[in-house]
Amino acid sequence: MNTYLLEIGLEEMPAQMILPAVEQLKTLVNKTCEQHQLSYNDLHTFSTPRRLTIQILGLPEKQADRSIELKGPPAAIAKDKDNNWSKAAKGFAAKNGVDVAALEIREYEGKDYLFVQRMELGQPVPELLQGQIEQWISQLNFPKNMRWGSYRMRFIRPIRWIVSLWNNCVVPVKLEMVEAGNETRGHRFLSSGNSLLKDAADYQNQLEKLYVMADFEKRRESIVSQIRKLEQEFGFEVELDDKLLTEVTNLVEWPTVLLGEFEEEFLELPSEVLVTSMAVHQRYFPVFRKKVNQDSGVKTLLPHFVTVRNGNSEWIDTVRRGNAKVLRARLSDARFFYLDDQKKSLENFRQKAENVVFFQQRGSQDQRVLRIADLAVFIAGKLNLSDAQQKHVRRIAELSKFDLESRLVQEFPELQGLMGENYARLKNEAAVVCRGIREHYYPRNAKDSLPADAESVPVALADKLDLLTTAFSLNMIPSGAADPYALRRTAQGITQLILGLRLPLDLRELTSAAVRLLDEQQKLALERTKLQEELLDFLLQRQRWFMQERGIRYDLIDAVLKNQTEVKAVNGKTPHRVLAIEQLQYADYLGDHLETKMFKRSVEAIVRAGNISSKYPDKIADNLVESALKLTEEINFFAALKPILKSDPQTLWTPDNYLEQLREIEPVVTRFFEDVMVMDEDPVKSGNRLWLCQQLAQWSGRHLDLQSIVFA
Amino acid sequence: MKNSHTIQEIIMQLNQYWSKQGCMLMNPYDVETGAGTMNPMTTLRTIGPEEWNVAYVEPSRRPADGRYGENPNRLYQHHQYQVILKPSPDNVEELYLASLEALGIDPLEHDIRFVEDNWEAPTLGAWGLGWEIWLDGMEVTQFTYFQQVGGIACQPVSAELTYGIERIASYLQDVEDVFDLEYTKGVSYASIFRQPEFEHSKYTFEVADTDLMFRWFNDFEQESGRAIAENLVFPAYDYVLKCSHTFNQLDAAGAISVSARAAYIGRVRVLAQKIAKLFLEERCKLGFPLMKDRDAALKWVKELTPQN
Repeated sequence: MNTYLLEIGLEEMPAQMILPAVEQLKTLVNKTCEQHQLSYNDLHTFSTPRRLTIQILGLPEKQADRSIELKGPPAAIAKDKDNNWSKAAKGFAAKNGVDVAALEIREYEGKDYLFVQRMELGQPVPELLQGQIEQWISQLNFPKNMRWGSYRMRFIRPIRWIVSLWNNCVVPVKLEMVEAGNETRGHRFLSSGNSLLKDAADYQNQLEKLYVMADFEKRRESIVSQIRKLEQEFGFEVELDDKLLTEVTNLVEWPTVLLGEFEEEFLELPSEVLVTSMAVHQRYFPVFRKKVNQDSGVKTLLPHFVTVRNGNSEWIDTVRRGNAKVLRARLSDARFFYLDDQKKSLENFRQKAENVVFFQQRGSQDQRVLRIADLAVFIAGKLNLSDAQQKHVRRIAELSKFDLESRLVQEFPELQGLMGENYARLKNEAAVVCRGIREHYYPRNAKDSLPADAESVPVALADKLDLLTTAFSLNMIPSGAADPYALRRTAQGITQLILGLRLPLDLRELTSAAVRLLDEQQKLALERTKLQEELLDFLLQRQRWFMQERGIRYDLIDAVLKNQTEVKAVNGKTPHRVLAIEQLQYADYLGDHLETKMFKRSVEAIVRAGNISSKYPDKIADNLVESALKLTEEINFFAALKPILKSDPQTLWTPDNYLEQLREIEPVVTRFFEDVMVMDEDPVKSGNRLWLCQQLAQWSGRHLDLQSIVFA
Repeated sequence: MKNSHTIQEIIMQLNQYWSKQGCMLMNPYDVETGAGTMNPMTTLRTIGPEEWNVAYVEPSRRPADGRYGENPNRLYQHHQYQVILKPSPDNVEELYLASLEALGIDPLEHDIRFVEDNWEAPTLGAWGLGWEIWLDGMEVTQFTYFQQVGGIACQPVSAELTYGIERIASYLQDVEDVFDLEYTKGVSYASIFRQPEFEHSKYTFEVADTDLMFRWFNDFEQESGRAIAENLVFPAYDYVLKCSHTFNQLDAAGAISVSARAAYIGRVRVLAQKIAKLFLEERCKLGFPLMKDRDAALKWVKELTPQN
């Protein structure tokens, strides 16, 4: 059996793009093999910062021969009047290199056609692959491509060499900037110059000799095991953040782990500052004291760091000292800012915020904070928080953005909120307020945690609603991929908060308050209704997304979301507006309890009731004339409707009660439609019957739009 | 380490190395710049088809980084060693690594990494892709393939190598504080630069007349526009540099709010883009004299000359 190997040699690729790239390469190669019915035993990928490699093992010498069938002209024109093959038929045979004797006539989609069977000889595999290689390379997709030198090609980083080997022979390919061969490059420093690859199957071993661990998993394992060894030797714990580990693995070809130290005095800094300096800025792994007591969740940092060198252990002390020096410089800077910030009062920071413009024509950061505070307290009221809690809510909101004016956060933007919490604690603010300053940013993405304190939640909502409202008021509504202010994520955050924490909040009230507060504060004379509708529409899209992510069926999502837009007054009273959490509750419940047969019949019955009552709006009785109910079916219908009629249209039925009611009323209504002609010569009778239908449809419509539900 | 590493020697070693690689040795610009990139030897010459290989030192002003000469790492004015290779050669990474060896940095004794870092200069309408080069964890060079300058796609693409001279020197001399560096034997960095660092910081943060500077900005902008109208590329660009420096001073003084910032940057960019376009047109009128391949030059002229 044979092996084919393709190695694309590049200048250092961005770490996070390497694995997706090699995955794409695998998909492309697989597609080629499928298309050409090429079988293989195994497909290996390798990747380092400087190479993307695919190895196809167990390939045949030649593609299998296969018989293919070709369709020709219609049989009607295949023979002339003497029953000899016509010119068209002869042409078809000649084109396909067969004798006319081989032509067959067969039916195809109801008509006869000429057909010919032809043996397609399998192509030698190297030839076949050769024709594909360039396409594989050019079809690799990257978020950001570049050009280099005078070449026209665009790629993630410059391509510097290509190895293309069929066992031990080069499969030639020529790109604009390089010709494929059998020469690879080893580790940039530990090996030198170009090295011959002798055997496609032995790639991994050959590269190992050139100080390149080509397999990502192997490299990662090597780093992990070296770190575990350090842990055992020194009795500490190294936090192996998965993302960081992957990134670091993709920054090196020959990993050697080393342990460095920094001065103990820096441990006075908040641990987040230390961790960010190490993990984010320097890609070091922070080191913690081994947990003696498993219960205490707090980890204690040690004045060490672990980093991974791209090389061997020679001269490792120089590397260690250099890295320690860099970290020391960063931490000195951070400490200077940290101490400097503490000299200022919270009022100082607030004054600075007065001069920071939030959005042009929408006031200062300080004014935004005032809006957030008012909105947060409004939301806290809706959530029935106590007066004492509401006081805390206001304080959290007032302090929610002050740390943005601190020097440390300006230096470490990723620590916003965290530093606010820290500084507020130093100023003796209440614990719940300090936590709230950090938590009001939650959730920062789809997987982030939600605020733990009830007092943080209104501020988290208000912050996001105000950003959204302000941006929308300036017509910055995201479209397509462009969303520079991350408004989708912001709206998503609102949905996550409301649905994740099951908050009984009405988005209409919330958006209305947010719009009003902005309009009044900035004296903008906004078109409030239009703005509010745009906001609601945007939020509804995010709610839909949330439900989809939860695995809820599309039609059920439609059914629960649609009802909201079709709220009608019932008996003069405005019906209860369905809340987002109720919609979710319904969707969840229906998903679990869709007893299809009963449900399908109910849906049919209710949809029918709805259709007929809306078809004759003028003929519906204003009130039921009970004495005119004569037929058993209509009397039964009325009786079965009683629980609905008695219920308060302001209150939503719980999903289980709703389904129970459907279950009971369904046979009655089905029977009614089977045996009773709704429209009658007597307008009182028609009016009564239409009234019954209307009551049922309206009641159901308050809960769900049944027409959206799709039955298999 | 084999070589001696005063700042002066580092500069000489780099000069010698890059001169051997065929670079012309140029000089710092005489208008304030924030980086070697701002020097017209880079900004303008990376536009258009002409070959261009240069190396020069650029004293670079970053008013916001002024720390009164008290911070061990930050300076109002630091020094960059700037190399432009146009078009970027196929072995540009190897050339760069050999330059470190020329400074006595043996890659086997260190950890040298290419860490993704994409560069963008919004005031110039310029961006590129590349890396920070880490030497044992310290960023010592910015390595960029220019993709666009002044809103014009770079064709061919230049490689820009920007060495942070103080960074490299403090590594090679093994000092913690930039002011402890030796400029040349027996002369410390502090003895030369501490005073200007202090004075520029004090001026920027406490003394500068920001009202006057706002006026300057407007005047420089206007004058640049006048020069553009007369097809005078280089004078127009000098005033862009003056706008840019004035803006940096105002920004450092905290006189420009966040959203006003974007507007000022936009105003500088508009000028830079006009100048970039004009530069290309003027070089085209001259027949791209720096191109060695005259046939190719004529082809470019034909391609870029507007058809009537």
